[in-house]
Amino acid sequence: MTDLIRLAWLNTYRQKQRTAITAGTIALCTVLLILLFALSQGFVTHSIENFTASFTGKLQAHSDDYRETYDFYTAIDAPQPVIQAAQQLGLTPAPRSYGFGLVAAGNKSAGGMFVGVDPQAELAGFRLPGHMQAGQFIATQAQGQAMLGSLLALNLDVQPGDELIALVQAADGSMGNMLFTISGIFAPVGDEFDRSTVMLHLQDYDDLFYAQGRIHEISFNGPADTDLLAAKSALIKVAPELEIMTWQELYVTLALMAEMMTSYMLVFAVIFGLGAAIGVLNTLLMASYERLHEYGIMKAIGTTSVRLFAGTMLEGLFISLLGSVIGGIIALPLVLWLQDTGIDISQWMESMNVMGVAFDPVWRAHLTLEPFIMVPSVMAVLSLLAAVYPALLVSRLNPTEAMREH
Amino acid sequence: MSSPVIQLHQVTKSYQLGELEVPALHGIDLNINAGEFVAMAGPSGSGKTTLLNIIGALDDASSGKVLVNNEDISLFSAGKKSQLRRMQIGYIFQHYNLIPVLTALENTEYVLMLQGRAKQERHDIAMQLLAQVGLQGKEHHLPSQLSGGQQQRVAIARAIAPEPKLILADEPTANVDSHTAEGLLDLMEQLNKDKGCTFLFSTHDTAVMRRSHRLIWLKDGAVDYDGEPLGFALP
Repeated sequence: MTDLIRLAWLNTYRQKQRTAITAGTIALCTVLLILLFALSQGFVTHSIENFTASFTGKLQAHSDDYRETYDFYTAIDAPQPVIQAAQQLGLTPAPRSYGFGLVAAGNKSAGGMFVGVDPQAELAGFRLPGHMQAGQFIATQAQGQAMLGSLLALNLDVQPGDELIALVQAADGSMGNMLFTISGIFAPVGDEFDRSTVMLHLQDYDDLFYAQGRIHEISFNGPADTDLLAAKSALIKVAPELEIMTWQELYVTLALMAEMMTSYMLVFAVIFGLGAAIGVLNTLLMASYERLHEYGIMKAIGTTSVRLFAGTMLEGLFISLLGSVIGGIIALPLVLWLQDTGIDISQWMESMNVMGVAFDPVWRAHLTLEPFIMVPSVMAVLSLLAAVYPALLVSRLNPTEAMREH
Repeated sequence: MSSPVIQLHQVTKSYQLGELEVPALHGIDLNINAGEFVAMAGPSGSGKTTLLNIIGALDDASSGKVLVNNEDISLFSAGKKSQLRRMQIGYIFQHYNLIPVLTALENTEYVLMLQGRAKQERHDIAMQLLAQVGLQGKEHHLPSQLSGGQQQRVAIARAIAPEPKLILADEPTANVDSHTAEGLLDLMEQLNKDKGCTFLFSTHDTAVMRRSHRLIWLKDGAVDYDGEPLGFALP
């Protein structure tokens, strides 16, 4: 066995050109497959992260019936315990309140969805405060400031610094109205958000709606690798009366879309992998045909078919391992570069919004260990399988024909 | 009297070329005894290489019996034929047919490795044989770094390394100059004397025929002359 391995290695090592071409083909396919995986993972991961970290959060807590009725009076009775528990879990909680009413500026008016937020919590845990088209995010102290969605600002024809009148039905049944100064306008997020959002400081919201501290939602954000199910269980223990849901449960269609995208990429990768295997098979076949005379000599002087088969397979194994490892090594800096710099796809895409979710215009890869283990292993196995046919062909050679005709 | 190494009884061989059957050998009867140094000659297409391939278990006869060391090799399985080639027959080919990625030493060791000999043992044998064929200092050269004569010497070393009872050589001097051919024949004759190997080689070269102890002349796939080389008048 040692001799067989040594001889196979000698053949691999000394036939430098052949080894370079075959291993190069395998390495190229490995690199492309790893990049494909890293980019598809990057697309899904960054899209989800973009979606959750903007405003939605990875988990949300509502009063048990709130999401069915969106009733102003169905609020979270005691938000503090769940907020503290979330902070202990490393999550950033952001309490929010919602309400509906009218906004007007100059001679224009529109319906608006009022969102009361704690600017400090939003700034600490979410990206939306930085997603500005003009002006700046509302101040951490309540100063009668409002942020508008981009389409609402366009419809009202307002700029940062302009005045905005808000008219709502307050919690006590009275008409609530206030004058706000527009501090900023959000960059586009999604159609519904852009068309209706009026974001206020929680204190200003409370004054406008006479909400008396009502909190309708607490959104929790955290690192991308947060164990959401564990966090959810921990929060439920603290506040069993609340409905606590992960973003996948809240946005089922979006979660399905992410899963489907991963599946599509996997199917694409399998097709690409098969194409690569056929390429490798072709290269190995060509390499075997080149050596038919040599195999004929080996058989003529007493090499058995089994030994020839095993030797050819071992050479295939060495070359496929070499190609896969080299491919993995080459892919690593490329993935790091794509993760860091990414590909700007904004020029090829008209809209960066899908289902109201704003996607990052720069497509970045996501570096994980998985494709670096999986792809080279799969490529090595595929290459080895591709080596079976040439090895069988070689083992069944007629030595005199092989020496005479090649 | 020495025992026969090769016994052929009514051996025929035909090739199928499309629908046409082309006969190559017509009922050959032949005995070659141990220790003989036999040349097989004849015009191109007379069946020399075909006969060598059949004796060497590289090809099958269409009919007749082929006995090597008293065993009918036409009954052998592929594995047993492979074993026969590995253990009992040494080959020297016209075009040297060395394994191109192996050095002179590794080529010589190759059959010994197939026989399962220990690394040191086969290394020692190969080094000694390469020195014997005049290739001291060239042991680590690849075939591409050796001249035709040197490659053929490696092929001879490879053929005799497992100490086979029978060495088959297909025009071993065809691709070397006359001086080198003389040297190769000296070497083969020496091995025949010293080790008692039976040599059967095909040739076109009259000088080589005259150096043999027995000449078999083939014509149109049949034995036309079998006897002393000096008694044969070349056509």
